[in-house]
Amino acid sequence: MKKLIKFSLISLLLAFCVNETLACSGSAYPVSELFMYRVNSPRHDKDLGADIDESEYKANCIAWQELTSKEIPLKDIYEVVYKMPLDEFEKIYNDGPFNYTNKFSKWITNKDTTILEFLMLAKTNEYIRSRINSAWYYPTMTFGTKISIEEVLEMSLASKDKRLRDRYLLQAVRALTTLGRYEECVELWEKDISKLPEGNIMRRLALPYIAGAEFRIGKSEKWIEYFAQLGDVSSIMYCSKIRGKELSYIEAFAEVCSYHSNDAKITSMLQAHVRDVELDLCWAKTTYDSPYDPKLVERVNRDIDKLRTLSLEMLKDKKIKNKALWYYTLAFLTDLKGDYLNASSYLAMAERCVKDDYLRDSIKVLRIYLDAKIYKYDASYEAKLFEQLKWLDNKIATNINKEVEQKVAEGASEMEYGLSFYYWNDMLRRILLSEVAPRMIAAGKSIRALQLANMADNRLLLLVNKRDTYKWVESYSGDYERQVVRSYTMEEYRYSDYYNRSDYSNDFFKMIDTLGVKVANNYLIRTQNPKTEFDRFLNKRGYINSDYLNDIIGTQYLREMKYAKALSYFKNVDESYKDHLNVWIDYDPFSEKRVKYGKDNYFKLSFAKEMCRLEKSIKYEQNPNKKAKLMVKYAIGIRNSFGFCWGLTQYYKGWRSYLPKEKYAPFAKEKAKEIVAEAMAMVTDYDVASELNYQLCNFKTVAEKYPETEKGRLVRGECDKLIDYHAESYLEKNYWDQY
Amino acid sequence: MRLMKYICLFTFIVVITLGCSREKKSEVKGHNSIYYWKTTFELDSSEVSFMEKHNIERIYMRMFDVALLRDFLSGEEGVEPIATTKFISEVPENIEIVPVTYITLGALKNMQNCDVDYASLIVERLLAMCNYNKCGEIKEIQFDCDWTKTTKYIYDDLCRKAKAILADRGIKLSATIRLHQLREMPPPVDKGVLMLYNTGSLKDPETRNSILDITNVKPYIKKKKSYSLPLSYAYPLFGWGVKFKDDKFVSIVSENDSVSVENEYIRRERPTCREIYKVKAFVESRLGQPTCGNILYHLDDEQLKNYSDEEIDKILAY
Repeated sequence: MKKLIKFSLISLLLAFCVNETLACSGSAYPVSELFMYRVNSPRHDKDLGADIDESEYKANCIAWQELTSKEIPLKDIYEVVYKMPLDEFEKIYNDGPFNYTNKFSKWITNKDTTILEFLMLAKTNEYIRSRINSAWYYPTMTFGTKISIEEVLEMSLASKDKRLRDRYLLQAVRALTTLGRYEECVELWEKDISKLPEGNIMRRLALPYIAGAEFRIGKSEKWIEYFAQLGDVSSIMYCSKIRGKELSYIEAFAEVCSYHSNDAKITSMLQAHVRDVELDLCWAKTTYDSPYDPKLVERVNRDIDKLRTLSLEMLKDKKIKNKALWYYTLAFLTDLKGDYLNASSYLAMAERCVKDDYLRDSIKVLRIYLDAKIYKYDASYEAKLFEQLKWLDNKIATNINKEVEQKVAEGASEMEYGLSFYYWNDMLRRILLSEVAPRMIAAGKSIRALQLANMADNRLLLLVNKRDTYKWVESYSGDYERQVVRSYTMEEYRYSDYYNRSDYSNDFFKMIDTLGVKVANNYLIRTQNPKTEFDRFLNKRGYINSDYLNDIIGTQYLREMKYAKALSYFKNVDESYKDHLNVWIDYDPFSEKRVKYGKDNYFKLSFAKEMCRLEKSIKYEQNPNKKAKLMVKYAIGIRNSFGFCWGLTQYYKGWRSYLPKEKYAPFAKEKAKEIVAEAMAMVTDYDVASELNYQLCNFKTVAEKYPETEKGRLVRGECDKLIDYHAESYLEKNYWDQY
Repeated sequence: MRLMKYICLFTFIVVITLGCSREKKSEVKGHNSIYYWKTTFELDSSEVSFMEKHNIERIYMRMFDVALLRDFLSGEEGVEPIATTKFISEVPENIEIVPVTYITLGALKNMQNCDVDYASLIVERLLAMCNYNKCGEIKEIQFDCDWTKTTKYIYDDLCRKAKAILADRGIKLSATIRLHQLREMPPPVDKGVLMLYNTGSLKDPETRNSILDITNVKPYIKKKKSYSLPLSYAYPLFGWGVKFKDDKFVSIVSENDSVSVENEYIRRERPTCREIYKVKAFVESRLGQPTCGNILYHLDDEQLKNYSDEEIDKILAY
């Protein structure tokens, strides 16, 4: 018996300690971390180096096309110029084209052998250079080429072919660099190459070699200018360090800007860096997983200051063509520093001088965001916000593409797809969830806050209206791939028995589940009876399903132990929805111990009904013993609905709970204890008293006070040392602390 | 008549055998040799005079190591030459240079299933270095690698390829052979150098002398046996200190270093000539005379002055 009691108590204790269960919660990722700063078109969002290479390859192939024939596809040119190794090219050179489908190789062997000669020289040059640049190289090594690098140089300089002159000059620069003849390299630049037109691709391709040569000669600082023209921040940093001057990325970037203020590269680099700062600041301030990091904040603030100084410097430069870019940047950075009023002034200047539509849209997004911070939340602001949201909503609807649709159908969240999942929707979410909704709540407009949060969470889902379910299958290569099992519409998905990844894990849900049942109820009413055009607009863009909302409100009433109210909402939930609540209970809510519970689709409804019935019965029961029994059952129901049947009152219970921990459960515990105490006090029948005490595991009381009852005899008969062994569970703290 | 037949046959066999052995002996004419194992080739007058005095005709010169390096930018690992020897002095006339490369085990493992022809890269670089630094006619190239049973097949493949490249140019390939490698089949090279130094465990505080200790040599050559590769023997003429703290290895230090910290001590190691003679006698008794002479490790005046001319001649004698 002693062992049994100990075992029971320890089991109960452990069971309640580990009953953390992941069901539903708010969104897993703070929306404030979504990138807002946007000055560079997504097609340039790749790594800058790769971008330059790609554009140069293409430009060079186009230049070859112009020299040969428009009939030759760029792909064919690329194959021969960039892909074909020297030994293969030698075969063409000696024996003619072996691949007759390549029009470029046919052209240069049949129609234009001067190009063939040039490419032979260029490929030999490149081959020797690659060998010489290899760590394995040692002077006097021979490479089996027909001509040496010195001969490559000589032939390049001697070429009289006007058409290919610039190309031969580039080859000469490359050969000179490889031979370490840097001064000649610079001379060649100054005498010939720099005189080529600005847009000449060979001139551009020669520049990195000249920058390197200038640096090695070390007589001037021209290398900074050249690297800056190339947008090569890393080389500026690296070479400066060698010269004994350590530059930060922003300082090196400032050099690039000063020489290169109007180049498209700047926007790409600027965006990359401002976004770094944007993200760093969010991470530095987050208290989500790690403590606030003052050192990081200090560093990020320093970076912001440097970027602001750079923006101001750039705005002073009269050569600057895109002033809007720098005003926008300044506004954004000023806001990051917390000075949104000045940010707004800078943004106004950007608005005045913006010329391109891409940047104009970014400015408009920042304007909505800053307005949300600046304006008083009155009717006039609501009207303004309505107009702004119409614009943003239109952007979401018109810019959506297949990739976004696919990700939404996969159930993507910003967590899974990085910080720029879909800019327009990201911005809707960032503005509404991080700024507008919290301020609406603070202004006493909780219903509006809920409407806006609902739009933020559901607009894109409604627009795409597709959810795929997947299974993992092993491919022939042994990797696992996701395979679509079925594509649902959102409505089908929500009524299926799949775990709902959307509706119980978003910011709207977190908000409605914490603002209180009154607000939730008023919100429900507003969804059914919209008062204004703005209400209708928001209703149309949110998920306002009555089953979903009634279940949430009913659950909140269970949490408040208002069972009749809860019942009235649960009754409105359609039978078809009851399989899709995302929470369940495993045990009988009226059993004092964990007793397996049979399948009950809508256990919340059944529980509310039973609690209502008990309330009525308790009210009308005259027999004190029967009443006491009903009261104990009622108290156990309360306890369990916050304990091992927490799915009745909550959608989530775990370490990341968004619900205030001490609000409901302790109150329920006290209430249950009071009811039990009241019930026990009114019992007149010894058998009933002993039965109830036995039910509550108060074995000591059963043994001492009711030794001659059936339960008393049972307890005494089970134990040798009755007085030592018997526990008083309901008086024990843990019995009631099972929340 | 029958007897005459037997006499003729016997005479024929004796003549043939003698003829062959005489021929063989002339083929394996030995040299006095020495290793040069520094990253800068710079001889001082005493080193030059040492070579003259001891009739050193050949220097086994480390040219570079082949190691596995991580590329700074790409983060990818690659096999590359490192610590290339810089030539300050000219190579003395009448000295044959055998360029040597040390291949780390990490690099060797990385050569497996690789498209790069490392044999060719190593050979070409060694020859280019010799050519550039006027090392004279190259007759032999040597690979030095601490290969093991599990990596031997990679090493064999490398040696096979290098040997084929060198054969076309009339150059022999040799390899260092460590004592533990005697247990395996020799690598496919033309000849070998048995390393009779660094025979013990450097970091073990129980080791008496990690440079050379006959007790560490004996277990590897228990019985008299013939190794199917012509072998030369390399003997150590150097010393150092091995610093320990609380019986844990700290570093290799100069032989004359001292300790100032409590629980630190230095194990001073320098094989005596007596010990070297003992090892020499033992190895020759088990593996036979060196087929290409003996080699000293290594040419460093600071180390060599610890040994007398007679002692050195005795070590070199074959």
